[in-house]
Amino acid sequence: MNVKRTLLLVAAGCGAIALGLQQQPQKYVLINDNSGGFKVYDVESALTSFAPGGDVEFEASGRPMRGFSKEQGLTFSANKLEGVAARTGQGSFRLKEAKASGGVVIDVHSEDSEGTSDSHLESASVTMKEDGDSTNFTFPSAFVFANRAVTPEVNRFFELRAPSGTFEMPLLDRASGNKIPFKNANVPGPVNIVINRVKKQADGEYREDLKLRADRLTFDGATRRLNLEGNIVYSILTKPTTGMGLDVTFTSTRISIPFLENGDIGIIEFGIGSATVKQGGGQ
Amino acid sequence: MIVSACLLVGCGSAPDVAPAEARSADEPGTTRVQIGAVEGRLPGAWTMEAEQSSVALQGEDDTSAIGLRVSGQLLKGDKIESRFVAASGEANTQTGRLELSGEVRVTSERDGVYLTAERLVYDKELALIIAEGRVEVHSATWVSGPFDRLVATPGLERVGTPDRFGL
Repeated sequence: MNVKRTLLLVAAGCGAIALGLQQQPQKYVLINDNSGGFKVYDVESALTSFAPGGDVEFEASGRPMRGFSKEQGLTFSANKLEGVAARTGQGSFRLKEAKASGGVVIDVHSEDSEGTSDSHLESASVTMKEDGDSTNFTFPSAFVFANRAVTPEVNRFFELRAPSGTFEMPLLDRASGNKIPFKNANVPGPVNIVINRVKKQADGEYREDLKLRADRLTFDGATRRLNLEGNIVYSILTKPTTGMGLDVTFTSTRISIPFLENGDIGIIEFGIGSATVKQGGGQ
Repeated sequence: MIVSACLLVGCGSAPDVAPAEARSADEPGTTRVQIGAVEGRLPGAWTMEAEQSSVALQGEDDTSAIGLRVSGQLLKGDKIESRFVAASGEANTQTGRLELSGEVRVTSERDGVYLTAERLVYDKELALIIAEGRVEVHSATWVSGPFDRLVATPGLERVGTPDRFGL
């Protein structure tokens, strides 16, 4: 190996080391409350304003930036977030308002003696605002919303995918134990829904897997019914404890699914339609 | 002319600072020097007081001071926006620039929110605090940081990374 080639290799090695040592962006803690109950962190750029009442307004970005509010049972991450952290009587903070964009992920957990409820939201853009005893979410772009309610009797999973929509959820509260994830919802379609539930019965577990597609979804808080309208395709696969299950595909223009207090779903009402039924899904 | 004394350096429209002059004030056991230089046309203003210092009077509107164990105020007109302390400070009345270093602490007069840093520059023309080195912002209920560098308004109503202030 001649000297020139050796020098070239050394120079290339130095370049590689320099690339390897390229400075990573600093990540900072923007807000960390003294109780450890509220934190906004992994922030690379931020502007914070302090309101006279003790609320903190902030604009922050990161890749992604993250945060949590223990009182709300809330964790969040996004590339950009404009928010208001409101002081609580317990000396901590709540995320009272947020406008988030870029890979937004929000998780909400609540529990009580009856069981747990976990919601998961993903979208490119989300706005959230607390209003009285509600928390309103707006998804201007495509989103995924999932919720799992677990009680001693039932394990119910619900997933909704849609191009946009608005939700009114119960006020986020870790201790609420709300098993019904929303109070009202208005989601123009097409919507795609998956519901899985495992119900414990005296003779074992009963499993049911539902898939639905519709042109529109609304949730009526007064009746606690999820109403689907327009060009509905519904398929259900049941797996009873013994014997063969059923695999049913149903088309209709309207379906109404009641949500029960414990998070389970009740008897589904169908509009006029047609169905194909075959055996399947047995144990 | 160099004066070594316990001093008060004033910049801008602080009501107790006479512009373009250096004078001694009566205070038992110490000699205080007040210096004011820059007329009140700029948005920010400050005063600085030190336990040990040297002052250079280079012209009618050009006075600089270096002090140890400094304290002072950031002002908006006659109103105190915040108070500061630091291990040392350097002030120049012509440029309106105030530089603090070592255990710097700026406390908002409005709500008690305070900023700590290793170094700080207050630019009178920008009316912005530029803090560097393990910068933290504290309130009674939360803490922010540490950041490498933060920029803040003199009353600490708004605090952010330099890019948020176009710096």
